[in-house]
Amino acid sequence: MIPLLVHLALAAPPDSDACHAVRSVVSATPFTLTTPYRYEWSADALDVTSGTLLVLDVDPTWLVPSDTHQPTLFAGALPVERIGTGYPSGRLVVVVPAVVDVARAPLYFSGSDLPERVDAAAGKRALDAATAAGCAPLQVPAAKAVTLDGRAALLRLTD
Amino acid sequence: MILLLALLGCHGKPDPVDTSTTCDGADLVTSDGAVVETCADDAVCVTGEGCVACTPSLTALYSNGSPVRVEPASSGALRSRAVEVGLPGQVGTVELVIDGPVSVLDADGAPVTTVSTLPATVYLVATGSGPATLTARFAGGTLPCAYDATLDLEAIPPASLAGRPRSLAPGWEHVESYRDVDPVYVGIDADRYADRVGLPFHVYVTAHKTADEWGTDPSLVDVTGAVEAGTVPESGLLQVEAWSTPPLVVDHPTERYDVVVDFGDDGTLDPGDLVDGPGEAFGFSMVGDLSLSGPHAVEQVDIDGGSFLGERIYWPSDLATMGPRPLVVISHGNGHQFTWYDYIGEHLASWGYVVMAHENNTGPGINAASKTTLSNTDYLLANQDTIAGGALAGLIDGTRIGWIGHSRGGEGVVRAYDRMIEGESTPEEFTTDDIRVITSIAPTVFYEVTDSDPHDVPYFLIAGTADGDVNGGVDCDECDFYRIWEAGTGPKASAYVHGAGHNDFNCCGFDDATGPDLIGRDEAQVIARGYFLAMAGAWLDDDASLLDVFRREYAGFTPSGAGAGVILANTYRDAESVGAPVFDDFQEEDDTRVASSGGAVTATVDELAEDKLEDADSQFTWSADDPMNGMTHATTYIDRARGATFSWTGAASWSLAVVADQADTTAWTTLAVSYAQLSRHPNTVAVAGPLAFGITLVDEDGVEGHVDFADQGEAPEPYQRTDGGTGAGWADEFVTVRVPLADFTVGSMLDLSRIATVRLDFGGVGTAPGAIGLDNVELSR
Repeated sequence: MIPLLVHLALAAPPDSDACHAVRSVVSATPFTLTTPYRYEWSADALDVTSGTLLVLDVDPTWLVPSDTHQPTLFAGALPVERIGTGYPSGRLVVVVPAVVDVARAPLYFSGSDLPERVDAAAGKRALDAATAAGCAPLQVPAAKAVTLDGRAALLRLTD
Repeated sequence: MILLLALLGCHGKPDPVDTSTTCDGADLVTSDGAVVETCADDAVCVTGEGCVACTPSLTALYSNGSPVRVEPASSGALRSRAVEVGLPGQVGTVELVIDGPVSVLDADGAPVTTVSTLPATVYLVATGSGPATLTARFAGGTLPCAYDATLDLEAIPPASLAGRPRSLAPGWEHVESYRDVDPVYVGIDADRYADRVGLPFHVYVTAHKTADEWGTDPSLVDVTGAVEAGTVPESGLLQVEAWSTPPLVVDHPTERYDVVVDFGDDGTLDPGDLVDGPGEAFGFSMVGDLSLSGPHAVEQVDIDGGSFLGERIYWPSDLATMGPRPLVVISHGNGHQFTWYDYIGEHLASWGYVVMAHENNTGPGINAASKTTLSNTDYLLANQDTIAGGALAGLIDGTRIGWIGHSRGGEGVVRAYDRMIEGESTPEEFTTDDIRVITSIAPTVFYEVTDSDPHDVPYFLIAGTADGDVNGGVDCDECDFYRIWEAGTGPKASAYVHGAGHNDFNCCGFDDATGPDLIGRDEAQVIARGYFLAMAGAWLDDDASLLDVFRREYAGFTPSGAGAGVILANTYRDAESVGAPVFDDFQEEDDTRVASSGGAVTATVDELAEDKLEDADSQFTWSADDPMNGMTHATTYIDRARGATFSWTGAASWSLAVVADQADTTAWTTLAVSYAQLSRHPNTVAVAGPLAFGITLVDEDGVEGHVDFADQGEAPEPYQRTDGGTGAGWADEFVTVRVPLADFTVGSMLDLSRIATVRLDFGGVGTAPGAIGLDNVELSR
């Protein structure tokens, strides 16, 4: 029932709750990969060669696992790649490709379509709505950048 | 004539003749030309023999003089009728002429038109149904013999002997598969076998043998411990309890047996005996408790092949002694883990399958998940030589693969197959032909069913009515998993389990189950284990005896670990390629008075409507303006599934006129009807329980055959879930009732080759009042 309520709540553009569901960025690790991987969390073709691995503190009610529509978490105009569910702890690990400047992009929930179906136009619409709703970038702590072999090595950072 | 008979003697030959006599046409004359005798029309004059009766004889083995019943051969000449052809004196040639749907074969199964080594035994097999005659005509050259011998025949469709008594009409049900705790009965119908009335017999239940094996050794070895004896009755159906306590089936999912009703008390299978099974088919099978572990110890290993290539693999520890075995792949759902399906992996591996559960990329969506299913299947097949120290090397049969997916993974496995069909993905290690079956557990339907399309692969859907995530409700398009089931064109089955939640089908997801009478994880997985083994056996090992687990009522195969009160709605439909005649699937005609086959529909039910199987107002509260209330088989404009709904408060019927090219049903074995109680309809509320009705077939002569199927399976009361509006009831729960056509002939002379009407009877033995959705009234094998 909770996922259903969340879904209904997010049928509309992001509101203040959706803007503030991500409470803070706990850590941020910029990375570069020697072996890029295909980013599946967007409808547009994108290879991840570099980006930022973020650990977020999120209101867990937004993270209840569901196989139906889940609120889509954006960084700017791009859905982020979630590593794990972050539920119920609220600690959610995400990958943000370098095409998004995490220091300047708001982190917010918007809509509930599958991330793989969100194209650039839909992403821009979400970002515009989020900006209009007052969603703002969060403070991103500085961290040492790392260079890794590929996605598997990146995920090992989350162990 | 009296004088002539005296001359011919009892064998049709004249008394010894003067060898000096010769024949002059029909006259036997002496050397001086005196006529000794003029042969009658049914005799010929043979020099040195005299007048020899030339009318052939035709003698059917094990027959009482009634038209000889002839069935189709099950394999080779098995199940044929033996007829001895003779001539008085046993010299000459006899021409055999058939008029009707019967063939004459020799002992090797080759067609026969003449016999000259007399006496000769020929074998009759039916090629259709209806009356026929076998005529034997003297063909001994130029001799003018005028008389024929004729044997009346009746070609009848095949029918199994194994069955069980039923409390409702017609009192008997033909059975292919029993649970191993059920007694086995053999039914001998006096009408069907009128040519054997009064003949004694013995019933043998034997281990199943192939046609070659029976040919090599036709001796009958009974396995029941007691050969039952009887006599074919003058009327009615004699029910013989042939095996009261069969042994439990433990080392294999099923055991196959043949049934022989032996006439002549010779303990040998010979033509003329009634046989059920010998050959490629089988008489009946015993199905064990499919939820119990199999005979093999299981090993498992976790591997990490890279990004989204984490896998847990299970296999029987003695795999090396078994040769290559089929592969079952498990694709988990969103927020789930590949380590959450040990109950499937361990179970199927214990029955001899290699099972692999893999990390599934469900977060982005269904395309991503589908690609992970493909890449992991490829990875395992490509790396089997090195995984687990080579324990799997060469022992995975990559041509027999089954995919199981849960939730987003359940849609993902279907999408993966569609990607291959559409050329969007081309795995290196396997092709679409190697994917033998797909199973979805409560799948999502994010994509249209033109993209998430099972196509023609066998497809099985299992879900729980208490699912709190992919809930099957009418206000959630991506939750209406029966849309995928409807899109499939291969053989397809479904099981909708009362009280099971979404995460009851894995070990560790949060408890989402919503509604009354929750069955919990343990019981849901008992049910699932049984179904998954049946799925693997039926489609990966081609064990046809397991198809009944999907085709017949679930109560017949309930695992011992499932509660006695488990409620489950199951459907089954043949592959479209089978070409089974569809009387009405409501797809082609909007007019409620015309079936999709073109036949006229007449009905005395109330509220009759036809439409897409789609709830119109997206809530469960009953409304007369929404006759498809609770229907979830169609949601978007892509979905095509249609059906009818109606109600009744007293005796009523829905009747369909069978069109001419569907009147002959004898090539088929089963009448299938799918129906569901109409959720939250006032009549459904009044029924407050399972609901059934009667089915009547009427032939062109007006002869009726009737079956009340309530004790063979019923549509359950809709799950009493209360969210989604006012009242209680959830999404439609279609069941497919499959009645053997032979059941309609029990106690009836119904001619299945000339069916004129299919009628559903309500309010009689069934329940009054009631309200149902109806779909797919069709024939099946």
